[in-house]
Amino acid sequence: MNSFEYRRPTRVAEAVQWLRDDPEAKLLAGGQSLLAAMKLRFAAPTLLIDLQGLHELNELTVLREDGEALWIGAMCSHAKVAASPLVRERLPMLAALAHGIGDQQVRNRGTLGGSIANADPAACWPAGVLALNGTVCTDRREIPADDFFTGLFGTALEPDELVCGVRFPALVQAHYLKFEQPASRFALTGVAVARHASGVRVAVTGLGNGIWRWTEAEQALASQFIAGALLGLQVDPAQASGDIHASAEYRAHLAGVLTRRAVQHLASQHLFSIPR
Amino acid sequence: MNYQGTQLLPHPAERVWQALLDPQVLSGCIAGCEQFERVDDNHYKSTVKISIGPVSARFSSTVALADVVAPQRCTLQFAGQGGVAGFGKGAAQVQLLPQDGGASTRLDWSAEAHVGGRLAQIGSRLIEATVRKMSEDFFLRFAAQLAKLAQHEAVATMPTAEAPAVRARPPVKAWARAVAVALAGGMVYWLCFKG
Repeated sequence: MNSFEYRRPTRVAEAVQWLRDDPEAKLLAGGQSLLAAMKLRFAAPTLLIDLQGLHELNELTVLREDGEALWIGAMCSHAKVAASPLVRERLPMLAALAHGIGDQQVRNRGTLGGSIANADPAACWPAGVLALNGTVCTDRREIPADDFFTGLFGTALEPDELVCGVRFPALVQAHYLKFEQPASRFALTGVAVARHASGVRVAVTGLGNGIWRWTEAEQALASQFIAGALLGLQVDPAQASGDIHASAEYRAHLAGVLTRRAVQHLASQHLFSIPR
Repeated sequence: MNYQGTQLLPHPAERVWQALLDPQVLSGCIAGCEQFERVDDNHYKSTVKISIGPVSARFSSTVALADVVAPQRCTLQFAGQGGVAGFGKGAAQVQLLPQDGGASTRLDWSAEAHVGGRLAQIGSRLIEATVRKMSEDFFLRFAAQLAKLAQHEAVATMPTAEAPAVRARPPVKAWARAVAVALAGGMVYWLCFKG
């Protein structure tokens, strides 16, 4: 067993300072990827900085002064988001997304901040944040989702930067669908479709090379928001990578199917409720 | 797993070839390369730290050049041992084709890789994407290194091109004059006190 030091900061600035002082230190949020990697000896940080004592990162609230945007702190667990009446009322898609991650144990420990900082190419949260056009707020700046995710396990975060939370714009109609890998419940492929006042955003996860926006589908849906608008559009399999569970072609095909279904769902909802 | 790519480089084939055989350039092409030393003409030893997501492992690896046909093609062979994490090996075939009457070069590469051990067992869902990213990164970094080298050379050759003008009227900068005065002052001081 590799020995390591374990510390709990009481302030964000303290955590950032420790991270800066030791290049082999790692932030510990829910530990659902990091601890597994450490148990397998795939990672051996010298210092774990456990963020669970930072209560300001655990807030879930509506920002009145910010156009009713929804604020979800980085240390909010998936279970907390899934059960939150606030999220269920304002952005039910996010509550459903969080409820679909892993199993109950994973949802109790895993966090929004941990998930997006890790940026696993099959994770659910990056699709939600990207489709909803969330803004990732760190200890020093605000990063729009489009700039935050930079490919396979890639983010715009500096080595010593810490995610504080994500601000989601309010009044967005959105739906997330994934085809699960049955053992891990990671998305074999997952699609988040969001209808904003300014247009449509389609984010695809699970293709293998990182979270990706399907701009052709977005353009087609912007002019006409029905599943038929997607006729003839296909995700290029070169955009995807295969593994033992599914080939690149299969994943690319799934992305098309899931996008159509998500649009169908949203379009049918539209009959009963006029988007605010 | 097989990956390929093409890059158009604004340099003559001879130039690209030299860079490809330059250990310094090669080490700069490998992300996370901590050490790179030459064993003999065609073999190198290196230590590479690979960090992808939560996984971070140090590989001690070898790089070998094979099927060398200057300045057209060669094969770069990689083999790495990452302790308990596992091992990997791969090869990239590189082919250079002169374009635009020799002014620029098309670099075609195709790479294949095999990963074994615990990494392959546990991380199978990520291996294809990872290998693809690493091969693409390698050749993107190669193009960047080449551009940097060319820039350095351009800077180094500039004074020669302008040499006659410089000789006709040597521009003495203010700071150079100040240094000369200070040195002269120092000399006088030293001479007086030593004398």
